[in-house]
Amino acid sequence: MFQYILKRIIYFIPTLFLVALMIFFLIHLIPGDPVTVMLGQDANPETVKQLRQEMGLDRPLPVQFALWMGSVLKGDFGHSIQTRRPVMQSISERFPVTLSLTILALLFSLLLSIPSGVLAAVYQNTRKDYLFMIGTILGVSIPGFWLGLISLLIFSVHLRWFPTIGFVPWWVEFWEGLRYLVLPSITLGLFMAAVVARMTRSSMLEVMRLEYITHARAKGLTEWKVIIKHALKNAFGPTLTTIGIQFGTLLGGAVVTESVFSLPGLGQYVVTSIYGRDYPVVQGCILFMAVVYVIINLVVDLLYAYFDPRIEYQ
Amino acid sequence: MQGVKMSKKSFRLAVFLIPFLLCGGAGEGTAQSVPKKGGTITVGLNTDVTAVDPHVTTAFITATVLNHVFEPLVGHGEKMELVPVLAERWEVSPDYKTITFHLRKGKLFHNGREMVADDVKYSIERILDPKTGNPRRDILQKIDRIEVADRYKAIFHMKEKDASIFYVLAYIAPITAIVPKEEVEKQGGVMKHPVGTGPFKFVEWKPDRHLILERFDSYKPQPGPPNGFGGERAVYVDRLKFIPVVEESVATMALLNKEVDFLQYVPFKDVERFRGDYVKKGIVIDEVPGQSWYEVFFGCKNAITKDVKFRQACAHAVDREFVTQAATRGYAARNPSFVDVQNAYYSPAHKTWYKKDLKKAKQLLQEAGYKGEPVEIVTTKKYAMMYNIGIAVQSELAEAGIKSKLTVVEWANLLNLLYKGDYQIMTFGISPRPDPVSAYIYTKYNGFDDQFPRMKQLRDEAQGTIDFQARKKLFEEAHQLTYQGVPAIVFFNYNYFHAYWKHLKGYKMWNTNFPRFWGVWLDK
Repeated sequence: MFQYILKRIIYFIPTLFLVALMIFFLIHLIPGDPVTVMLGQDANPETVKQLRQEMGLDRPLPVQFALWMGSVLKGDFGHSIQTRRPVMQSISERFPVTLSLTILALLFSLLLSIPSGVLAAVYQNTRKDYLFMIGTILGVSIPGFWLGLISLLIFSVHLRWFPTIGFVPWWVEFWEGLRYLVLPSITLGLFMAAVVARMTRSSMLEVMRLEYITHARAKGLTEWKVIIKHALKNAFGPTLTTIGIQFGTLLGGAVVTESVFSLPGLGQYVVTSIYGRDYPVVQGCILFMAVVYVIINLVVDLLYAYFDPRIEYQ
Repeated sequence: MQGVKMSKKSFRLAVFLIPFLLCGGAGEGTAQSVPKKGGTITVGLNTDVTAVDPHVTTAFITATVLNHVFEPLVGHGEKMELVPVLAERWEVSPDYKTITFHLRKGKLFHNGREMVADDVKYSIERILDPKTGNPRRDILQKIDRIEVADRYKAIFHMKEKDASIFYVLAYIAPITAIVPKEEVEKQGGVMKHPVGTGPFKFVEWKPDRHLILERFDSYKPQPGPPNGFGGERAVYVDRLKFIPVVEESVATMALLNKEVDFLQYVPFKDVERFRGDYVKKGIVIDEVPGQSWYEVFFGCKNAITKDVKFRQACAHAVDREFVTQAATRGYAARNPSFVDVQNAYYSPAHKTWYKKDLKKAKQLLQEAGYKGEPVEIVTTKKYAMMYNIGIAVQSELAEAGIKSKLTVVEWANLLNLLYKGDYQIMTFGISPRPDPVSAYIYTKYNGFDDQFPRMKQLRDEAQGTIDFQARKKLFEEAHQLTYQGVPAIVFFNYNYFHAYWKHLKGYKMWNTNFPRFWGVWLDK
């Protein structure tokens, strides 16, 4: 097991290097540069040229890449061109916000999706199942942007249960902090809930047809024990893969939710920085997200062994 | 005389009612006229500030906040005239080679130290230092050196005549603010905790969360009534809290929920709703004519659009009123000139422009040898007005038989194309340019100056004189030249809107779109 983890960590190195290489060259290939955006309407060619020289942007791309990689290996992601703040400082301030939002969204979606997916499988082709199908189609189809605005209108403006804007970290004021995260996590989690629920339902249906389930019933086990202990545990493998992928997607894709709810997260920061061609921020944040993503994948892979004892890690 | 006669009964009623009516009016006036200290004004911004060091950015949003923290030597008054701020007066030598600024005594930085001439020298030299990355540095290049004559006197020695220097020093963003050397050095060369001489001092900035300013109790206001960025700056509120709210509809919800007291931006589509339902709830909406100008530029070096006759045909083809309506719903001053309608240099001569005349347009196209080749209109979706102008212009050109395709690019790419002059038609919008020299500079980038070299001469001549009438004439000639050669079709200066709760008293909007929270108090 230890060897397996070590091997996976070694595999991370080329993966992350490729990610770094790709993001560096892709962002530099997009037309427009940070100096022009920074100077805006004052970006006359002479000033642009001078500033580009001062910032080292006139050097050949491979040289710039080597310099950046050198700094990254020392743990220095550089400074934002727009704000002049260290990229690592911004990541450390913003990542906990995105992570909190994503974890709460994940919890909400699991609480909703697993029981409903199991129930839909158990009551296949009944009214309950059809209702479930309609619910999941809605969940997948409703745009997060619209859902966010509507939930703000109902729960913040009319009912005044939650704040409309602002953010208080839950690690500073726990309950107040949660108030700021409830609506965004429900908005973000609903899409994931629909996807996971559908996956749970189809995996459950597959497993429920297998012989060992008939055997468990023949042993005289209660139906719920058969479903929860025998069927769900085995059906959870594919669901876990979906959760892993979705979790990674949520981490990088919370942009719309962060924007609607004015949350100071990483997603919104990356998008703003892409538009501003803030190279150090884009490169640093995406590389950081890639690290998080490969770690999540590793955790998911390790969890497989728990749900499927046939899997051994070598 | 019959009309003014009054019955005894009516007279008694009037005598009885007049004191009540007067009291009623006085009551409202009294509420307005008694400022109170205390409270926090929460301001919704449509995006977050980009930096808190005044010398590194011209971003409008950063200036909105930092104009409360920093002050320049000179500023703009309500009519865009130059007014003293940190400098109480200045003298220009007859040969324009030296400008002497006499500083106010007793102006304190937020760290408690007095601002003196050494700080002026340090700040301007910091701006001129390429390492600082000041976007306006090149406009100050005509400064040779700064001499500290005494504690309160700084002399600018100029390499050559430069009338525009006052406009750069008074720039509406605090890009030439006076900063204390010791604070910049203490903070590692870039200000993360800005220290200025303004009426509010910086408390904290949590990116994308909030930026907080606090009243600076030792602030010494300038004498005289408030006038733009000059005059008295009485501060009543304890704190200003700026919160970025990116989504327009969420910002409106936050205002309705009283989570923000003030919105610095109201989209045109919401203006009527604000004026109807929201005003009834107690929200005030202010409107002033703005100075930003929106236009389409022609690439004067590119195929088809390099032909003056083709550009004149376009000017005849486009109904500017139609385009203005499409882009602003009519909330704009129609203006065909690079000089905005609020500008001191604006005159009736700047109103001259082409009328829509399809027959004339088609005749000019024929003379230009246009054979229906498609031209490209480059635009961006970052600013809705630019995109809407693109769509409207495309349909107008089609009426005259000009084929065009609309290409949407990102803002960064659009800026690149603008300065390379590498486009045929481009929709664009430019923020206020109180000095028209910095407005007419855009003809340098699209190749118009090469076709009409007189334009550069006019700019140079305007930079070489501070005589108002002489400059005015030069700018009128510059407009005449744009009429003749059509480097662009300018449509409008759009109006600015601010919305706030009526418990915010004493607020006065002005035409730079920068809110000023001095002289404002809360009456909740």
